[in-house]
Amino acid sequence: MNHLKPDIGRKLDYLFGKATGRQHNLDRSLSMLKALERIGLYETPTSRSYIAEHLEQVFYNQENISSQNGNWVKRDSLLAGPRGFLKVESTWKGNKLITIVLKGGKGG
Amino acid sequence: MYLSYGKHYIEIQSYESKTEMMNVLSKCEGGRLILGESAEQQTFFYLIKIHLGWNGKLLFGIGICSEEYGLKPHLLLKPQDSELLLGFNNEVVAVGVEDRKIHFRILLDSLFHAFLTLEKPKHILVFHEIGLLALDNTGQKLWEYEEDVIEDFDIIEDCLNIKFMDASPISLNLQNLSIHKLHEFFNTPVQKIRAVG
Repeated sequence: MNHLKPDIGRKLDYLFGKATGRQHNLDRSLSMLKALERIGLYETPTSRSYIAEHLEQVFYNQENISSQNGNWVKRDSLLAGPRGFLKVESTWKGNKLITIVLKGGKGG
Repeated sequence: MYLSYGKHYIEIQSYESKTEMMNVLSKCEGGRLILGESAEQQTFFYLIKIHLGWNGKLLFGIGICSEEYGLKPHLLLKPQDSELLLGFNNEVVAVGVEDRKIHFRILLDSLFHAFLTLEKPKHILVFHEIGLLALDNTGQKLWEYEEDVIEDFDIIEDCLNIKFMDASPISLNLQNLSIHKLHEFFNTPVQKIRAVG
């Protein structure tokens, strides 16, 4: 059982298309927003807390680790929305969420 | 429009279907390579057609199956080595134009973002989503640094300044590999932070 609390930092903003900085970041962030919208998860306080809760559960689940390198861990999960599902590949360093890749559907 | 490359010239096309790309690739009689075929989610397809020699009739084709995620593949021309460096998905592949073979392939820990060539030291920096690595001309990994999603970077004199999404910004001296973190300073060679093979 993991006793640390997951730290998701500003990654919810990243998921919902609100990245700042280089164009690569903005494009990548917008593509995640589109992927979430495709499964019916629009940027609302409810969706944000739903995804935050999903990420928390992902962190506490010890059975979803797909690869590990030192304290860098990749975890796979399935995010359900009102209109479909997305595969979520999250990278963690200890309890800190580093990045997320949303897989499923064109442009995902 | 064509891109001149030594005695060759290059044409880049994109396709929404793999079949469409494969049809054009099959007509490249000077050689064919397909990259990114192991990608889980193949979304867009790119074809680099190299018109070989002054005549330009013989074609060498390189197809790329791209996962995208909002990011497009990058092509770095290395005419002095007759090589093309391609960055896409989570890999970097060097392809020889004369021998039409893969020279090296490097897997990244996150999605490829960009190349940056340095003159002094003569390195190629490969930026991916959560870090960067330095390569020499032969594809040998010299050092790497990973921290968090890179928001921005800039080079001022010998220093590469990087801003991360959820970590302190750093200033990496490219000559001696020392790192200055915001509010702290330490002089640790990057190789000691993350050893490379």
